Amino acid sequence: MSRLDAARIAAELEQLGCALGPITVLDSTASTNDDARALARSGCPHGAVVLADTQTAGRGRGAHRWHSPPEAGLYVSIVWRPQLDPSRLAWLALAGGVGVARAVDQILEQPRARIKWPNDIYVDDRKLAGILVEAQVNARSATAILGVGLNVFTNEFPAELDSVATSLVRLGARALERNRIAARLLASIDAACRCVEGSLAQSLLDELAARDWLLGRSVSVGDLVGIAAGIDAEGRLRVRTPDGSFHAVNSGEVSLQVASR
Amino acid sequence: MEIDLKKLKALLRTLAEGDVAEFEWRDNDATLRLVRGPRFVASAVAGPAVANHPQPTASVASPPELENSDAYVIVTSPFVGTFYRSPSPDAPSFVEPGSSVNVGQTLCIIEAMKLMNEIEADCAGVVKDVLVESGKPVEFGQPLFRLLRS
Repeated sequence: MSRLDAARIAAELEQLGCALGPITVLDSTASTNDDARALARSGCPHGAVVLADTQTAGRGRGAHRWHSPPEAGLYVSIVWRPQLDPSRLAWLALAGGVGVARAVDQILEQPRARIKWPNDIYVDDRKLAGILVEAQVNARSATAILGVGLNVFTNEFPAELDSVATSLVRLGARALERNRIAARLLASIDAACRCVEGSLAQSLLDELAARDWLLGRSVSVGDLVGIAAGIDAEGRLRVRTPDGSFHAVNSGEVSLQVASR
Repeated sequence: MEIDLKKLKALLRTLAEGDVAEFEWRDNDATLRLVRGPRFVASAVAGPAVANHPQPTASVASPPELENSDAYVIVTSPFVGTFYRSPSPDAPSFVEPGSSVNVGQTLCIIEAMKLMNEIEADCAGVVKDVLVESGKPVEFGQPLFRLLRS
């Protein structure tokens, strides 16, 4: 099990033709997103990266925590200073998911990664990676911190996660070297997020549709209960309610209604 | 001259997409001039010259006047999303009515597609009204807070 090493990750990134950096590696931290935010506040450039061997307070949406044991996963945050109208910032969250899914497919050497809208990564109906994007918006600028937690070597999860979470090792991935995985992950996220700033949003939509884990499942989000019916042109989740009407969901936590399939 | 709000909204969207800062249109009996503010707009102060303030759908308080004035600033939502007053359900609110805020201080989070947008104050002041209930959906341009400028 290799230690994370900033110089090795930088060298791998250069080979992949990815310009992200500078790279900071920490042994242990509360949350790489918080560290990246501190870097952003101190004026770091677009593309700065923070990785940690372990997080003591890794988090997801709201009160959710991300199980981040030492040297078992990858906890990565990227500082993104998007050249985007704020109304399009949310596309970064979708693109981040596509980027992680592509990297997972490369590592598993099979197209297996699905996306639970908007950006949770599932393989074999278990969660492998999560993404949290936190942005600060004011009248002058927007900065987005894109954080990813990816389970790599985790073999044993806490009881409450055991039936719903997975890791690259559990999925049978071979030749796992965390610095190389980190570089692939970063390069893939970078490429997908740059699509948002260009005019390649349609390719992201096509890929979201192809990887849509929720499609056809019974879901609830807020007060809405229905069947997930794809992703619309704005990147929103479509839900068909029992009366046959369609609703576009832009935010909120999507829960599965019953264990379908 | 009668203004078709739908057309005006479409026009504003088009100008924003093309990052057009100023637009002027004339015919025989009317002139329409639109000036957009800075590229990143988090408050209506820097918003489009022709402001459109929908009434809040779930107002905690209902101030009689939601226009900007010298004394008051209306902070509006730059996105469609869900409004949260605190970083997590068990955490205290970023601000309460009566809170003093500084430039850059976080007022709330608007979530869209699991992207947590922290909306920052563009001016120092005191929070007079919180116009939306936490956890409720908000529209683009919807008033969120009324601040008394200090």
